[in-house]
Amino acid sequence: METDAEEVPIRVKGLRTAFGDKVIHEDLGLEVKRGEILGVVGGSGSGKSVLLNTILGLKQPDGGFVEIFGQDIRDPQAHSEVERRIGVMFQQGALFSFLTVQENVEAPLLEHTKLTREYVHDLARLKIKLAGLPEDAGCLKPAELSGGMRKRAGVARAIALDPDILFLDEPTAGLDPIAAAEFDDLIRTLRDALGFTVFIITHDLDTLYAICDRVAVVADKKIAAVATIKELERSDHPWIRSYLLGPRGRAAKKEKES
Amino acid sequence: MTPLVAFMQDAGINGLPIVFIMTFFIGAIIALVGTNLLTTLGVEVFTIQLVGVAILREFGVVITAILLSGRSASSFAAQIGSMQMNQETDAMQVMGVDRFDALVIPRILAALLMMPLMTFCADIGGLAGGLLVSWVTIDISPVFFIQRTLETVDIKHFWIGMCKAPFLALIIAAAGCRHGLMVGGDVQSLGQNVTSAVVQSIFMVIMFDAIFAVIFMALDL
Repeated sequence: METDAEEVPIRVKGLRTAFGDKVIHEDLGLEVKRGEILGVVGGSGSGKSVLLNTILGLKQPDGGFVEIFGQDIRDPQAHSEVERRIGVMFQQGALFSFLTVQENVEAPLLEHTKLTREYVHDLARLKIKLAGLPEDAGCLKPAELSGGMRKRAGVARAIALDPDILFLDEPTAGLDPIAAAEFDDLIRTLRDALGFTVFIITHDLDTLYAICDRVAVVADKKIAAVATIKELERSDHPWIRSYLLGPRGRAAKKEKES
Repeated sequence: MTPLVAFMQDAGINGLPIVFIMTFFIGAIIALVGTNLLTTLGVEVFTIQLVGVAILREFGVVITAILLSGRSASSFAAQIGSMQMNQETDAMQVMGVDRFDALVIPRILAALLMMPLMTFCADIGGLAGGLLVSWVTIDISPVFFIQRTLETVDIKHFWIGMCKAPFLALIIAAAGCRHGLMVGGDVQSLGQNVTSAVVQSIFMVIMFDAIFAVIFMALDL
């Protein structure tokens, strides 16, 4: 059981979520393998962010369960274990607006470790550098950062505790293509260097082709398919077909192949 | 520690001038209306007592509370609400930071600590307004006004006003924080919650002040 939990750090089974009468997920199941970069795609309103919030324990599931490292996230005891081993970058970065970037990255370290102040300070500076931010960015407030820098700062905070799983909510949304490609590179480099599992919610076809090992498609209230992008191209699911084989999908594919 | 100091500065110290000026006008109005009325009875000297009791016992603390509702209940709700919208509170929860400890406690503490100081400032402002009007309209010298206030206005009125301050501060800060945490993902709910934070805290301030008035009356204070 223990090794199984390590090999499959995230396991979602029979998940049901609903807002009132509106059912978002019905009997949704998903397993994420250790060390992979999993992209999660789906139409707007298909409940990708709701799925993320449920996995993170921010939203209670109406049925089924979510296990992270084999621990049920509804168990509060297990949750404090789990929160030390995951890092999350929310859509807009969700940096604490009243703190500087440096203090933002220090926050999880101060919350979960008993390291000395100087050590935390140095560690945070290292993470800021790892995330590809210039050295002087540490003393800026989130409001003073550009969109791309804010996302990098969000990543710096997410990797502060050397997590085993990194969650990214639409990391490249709102970035220009160059910055988005750089961000993709950053994620892949970090994954290769630090060896964590990455769960990416995205709309960005380039991200799927460039860095994702597998892609999960949220459609029809469940995970319609989990496969490599190549396999998905051969899928006959109508949404997947129009998503991947539409003009934008073809362009992304061509770029990858060239 | 630092957020607490920042909130104390923002909610308390920065509000002192406006609280002083507002109660200054309230004191002046009470004195003006009081002299008009009391002159017809030939006892205009009682204006001093009227101003003293009204300001120290009721208006000082209530005006401060209303101002705190307008300035701080709204800003608390808006600050916490925008953090909700920006998913900062989600990030806190995922990190295991308690939202209550991190967001609510320092704000309530700041309000609790600053409200008595603001009320004191309001009391001084109100008395100053009364003093000026009495001087100009019925020619009561400032020295006589102060002397007469000290002689005839029982110190208990000051303490009655003062002891309400922490209760009202708690109500205001709690209303602000509560509505901030109720903000959902959209701008509309931010606006709605900031509005209800202010409306609710002013309503409760007045209601609790009335309850206090009844209690103190029953206690013969």
